[in-house]
Amino acid sequence: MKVTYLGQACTLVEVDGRRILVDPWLTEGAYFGSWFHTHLLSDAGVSVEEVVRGPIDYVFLSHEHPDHADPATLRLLPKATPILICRFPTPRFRRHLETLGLENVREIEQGARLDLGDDLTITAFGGAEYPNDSALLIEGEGRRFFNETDCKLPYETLEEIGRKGIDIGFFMFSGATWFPMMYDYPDEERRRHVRRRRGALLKSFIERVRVTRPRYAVPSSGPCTVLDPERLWLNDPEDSIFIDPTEASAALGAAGLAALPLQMVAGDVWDDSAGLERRSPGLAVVDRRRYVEEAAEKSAPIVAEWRRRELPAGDDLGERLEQYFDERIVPLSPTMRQRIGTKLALHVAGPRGGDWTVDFTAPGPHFTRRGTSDDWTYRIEVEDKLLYPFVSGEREFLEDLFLSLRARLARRPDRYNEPLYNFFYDPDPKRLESWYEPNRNPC
Amino acid sequence: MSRIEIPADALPVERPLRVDDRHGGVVVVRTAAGAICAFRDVCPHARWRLSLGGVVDGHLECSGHGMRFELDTGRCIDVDSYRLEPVAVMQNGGSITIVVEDEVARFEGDAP
Repeated sequence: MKVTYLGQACTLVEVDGRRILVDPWLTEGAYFGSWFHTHLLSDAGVSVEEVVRGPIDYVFLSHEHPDHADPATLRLLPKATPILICRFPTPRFRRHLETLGLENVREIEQGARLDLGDDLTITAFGGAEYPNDSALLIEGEGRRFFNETDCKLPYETLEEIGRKGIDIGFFMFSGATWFPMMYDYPDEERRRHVRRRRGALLKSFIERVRVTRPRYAVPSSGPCTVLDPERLWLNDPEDSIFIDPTEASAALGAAGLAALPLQMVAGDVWDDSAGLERRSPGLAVVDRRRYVEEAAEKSAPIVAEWRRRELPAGDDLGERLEQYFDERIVPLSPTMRQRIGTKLALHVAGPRGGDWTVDFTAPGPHFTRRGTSDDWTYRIEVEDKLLYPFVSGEREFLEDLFLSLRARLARRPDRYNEPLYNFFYDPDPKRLESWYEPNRNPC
Repeated sequence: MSRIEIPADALPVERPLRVDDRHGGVVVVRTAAGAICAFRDVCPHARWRLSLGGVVDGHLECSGHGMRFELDTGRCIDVDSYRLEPVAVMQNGGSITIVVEDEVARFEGDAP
């Protein structure tokens, strides 16, 4: 078995004469130009054209986030490439892939072992949370490869995997969300949240490695690097949950587990007989702060050009915004609206901007209106040109807006509103009702 | 319904202890104030064993993904919809009794 790491959660697994590509994000600037790879793919010598030239027998995609299922990369694949995904509660991921022109998308039942012939099998495990997410186990040539991607698996699934152990496992260790950085906290409070989250993330990483028992554990699926000159602070370990992979390796090494931390950078190759081949030895040891400064300097013109090319919002933004939210809130049951219970103040900056309230507590039939009031419970500030693609229907996944790290948020009380987050992620009323039905007890 | 007895000194302060039973196990915690509480040993988030976690700032913290629970109520302070399922427990002299709805229950000594 040979595994080439291609950055983030992307791995090319060569086993039993087959080549399986997992979660290919092989361009830069996901989420409106905000996310770059831990190390720039250009620095690591990884070329999207070379990778997609293949041959590739299968592509496994864990979920729709563009740092895992990058539309720009996927559009370069032959349309008939077999694409394997987990079967999720709704077909939205499959439909999304079909709109990218992929014609051979196959859904695998969660937890079912798919036989690819000649002793090669793959198993896709679904996550424990509402959003679509999945992890992958590949077994072949007597070896077991595991890629967690971003998936938070139930404990018993990890325990089951650990019964036989893993030869090489790729595990998430860094934060990958906008909390707490994009929230309106005073600096010291935000840093306190950051410290707590970083500690919990590293503890969780170690625990998941302990339970799954890999021979080699590769910290992966992050961190992103933010190269927007106005947001470089998002790389600072005091101010953000994006963790340096060397910190994860060190924490794992100190935990005294049998698993060996294996630091890989994009381009590196692990072979089960030959061991690790480093293609860019300097990148594995470069000081992160210095690397980010240099990468930011050389990427500044690219980022500036992307910004310049962002299309302005349409002059019908207000009308579309009101329609967008009302269309999604009206089908919810009163109980579900009450569970979300949010009065969202939306401050949209830019020439087409304005203030709106999206009020889940309103009696209906309308839930979105112009203007805001002081009794908001959630507040979002965003540029008109970033919001417009979503309310106009051009972009489907509203969560991408928050993951762009270009929206600012506040909440009162200061508590995670899980139903609201799940609504933003996927407002399908049946899916939400099913998730919150009283007897859906994970125990 | 059956009872599991454990020695009171098997339960140190603020160190979760796992007790096996046929319904996935029970986590028992002695708070800093000396009260004893018990819950089903499963985190409602991703079903991690709470007994693998610890008590941090007076909250039971799941080692899986950092969810924190109030020891007196089982309420999650991070996600409103999560709540631990309480299990009846009492201390009587040198012994702690856990009451479970199970035919067979056993105590396996030290928690992992």
